[in-house]
Amino acid sequence: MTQNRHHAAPMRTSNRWTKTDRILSAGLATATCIGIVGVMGVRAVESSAASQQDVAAQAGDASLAVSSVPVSSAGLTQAQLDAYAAQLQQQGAQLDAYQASLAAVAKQLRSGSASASVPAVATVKKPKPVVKAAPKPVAKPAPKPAPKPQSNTKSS
Amino acid sequence: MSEVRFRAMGTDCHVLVAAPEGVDDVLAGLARERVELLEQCWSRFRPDSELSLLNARAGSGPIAVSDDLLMLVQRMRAAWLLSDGLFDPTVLTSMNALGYDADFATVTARSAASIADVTVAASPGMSGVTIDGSTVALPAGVGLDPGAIGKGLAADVIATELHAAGATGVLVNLGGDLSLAGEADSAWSIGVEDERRPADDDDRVLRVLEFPEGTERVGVATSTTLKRRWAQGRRHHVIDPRTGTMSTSDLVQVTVVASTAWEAEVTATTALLLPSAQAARWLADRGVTAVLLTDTDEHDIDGGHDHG
Repeated sequence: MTQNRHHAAPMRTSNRWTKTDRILSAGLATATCIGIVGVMGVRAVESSAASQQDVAAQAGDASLAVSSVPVSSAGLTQAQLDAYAAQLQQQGAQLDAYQASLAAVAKQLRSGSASASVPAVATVKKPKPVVKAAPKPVAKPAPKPAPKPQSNTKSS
Repeated sequence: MSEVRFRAMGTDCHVLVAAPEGVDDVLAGLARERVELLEQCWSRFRPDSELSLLNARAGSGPIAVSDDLLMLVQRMRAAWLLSDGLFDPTVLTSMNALGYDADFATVTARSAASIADVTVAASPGMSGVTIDGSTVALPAGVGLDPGAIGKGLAADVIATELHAAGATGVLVNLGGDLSLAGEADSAWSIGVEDERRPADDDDRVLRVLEFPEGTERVGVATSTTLKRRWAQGRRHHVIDPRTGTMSTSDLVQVTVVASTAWEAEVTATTALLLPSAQAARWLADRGVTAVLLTDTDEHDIDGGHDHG
């Protein structure tokens, strides 16, 4: 067995996500899809709940109308579907906020006024991660080439 | 250049962003936010994730899904087709039956006595999974496992989005699945760690892959049967869909370089299902660069050229 130094094979170009406007479009589309899912979920819940209540009323058994009764073929309850719809809406809002922040950075870079004062446009409040910048190179009398940016691959 | 390390998706994450000073820190922070959003959508260990709900509704007909989940399912199917069914996300039933049905810390905390012998079957495959527009329908009894594709795809998404936003270079490493987009101030270097060696071994970095300036997109991923073992080491997470049980290949680790991280991850995992000689041929046929390890041996394939 030999130990060789490897170089990347010729790479094909991917155009899938290379445009900022695609990101914005994807964000809008995602929000729309999530909205649809949420609406479908809520409507399904409402429809199923109404149906269950009709059955309960007809049967004179109020226990069928409580939220712990499964209302979907997968055994999910009304409460679970409600919670899921609400969560998808929240996730959609978080994704929108992320996309808006990214778009703000892109706009600032395009305008050539990049600085540390990139505005945070996130509208959904969540704990901000602490981002630690790598130590900046210190000026030296005889500067050496900066170390190559490196990361390791290992299975997790 | 900004650098951030954090834990997400049950693993160590490392992000490097080359951009004007100040902006690099903002983009690195956004990368972390994006990882968390994708984990919330794709995790099989969070009962409230969108993927978990999709799996729970198998057999219920088409379900409208978000763009992120749709992308994951589309890549899963593409990977299943590219690998002739050897990469199969529908191993979820087997994976759960074998005991990997919760986050890994929970699985390893269980007593060995609670690990029962189980009977598993071949996985159903993706042929019954229907994607129509923005809806996905899973057949009854079929669930999707994002393992061996999710982290790579997440790395690709984030690297691409940050690069498109204006970063000159981005490296996203999610548990060893790396995606590179654009250029740094100098060439990118990727170390390939040898999982056969102890974590503190000075010789643990087996190879250093260099990606010179001008490299536009690269994905690198490593898959191994030496980690994520449970039941006193008797079980591991690389499942052969043909049997529904663990791979018995003599390979213990495979690293692959491809044009995207998800392709690299899928290719590495697929190779781990094959005997080493067959895996080497399979990888060489695909023209990839790869490093294959058995318990005692190393095997290099450089851009499809087999160096034995």
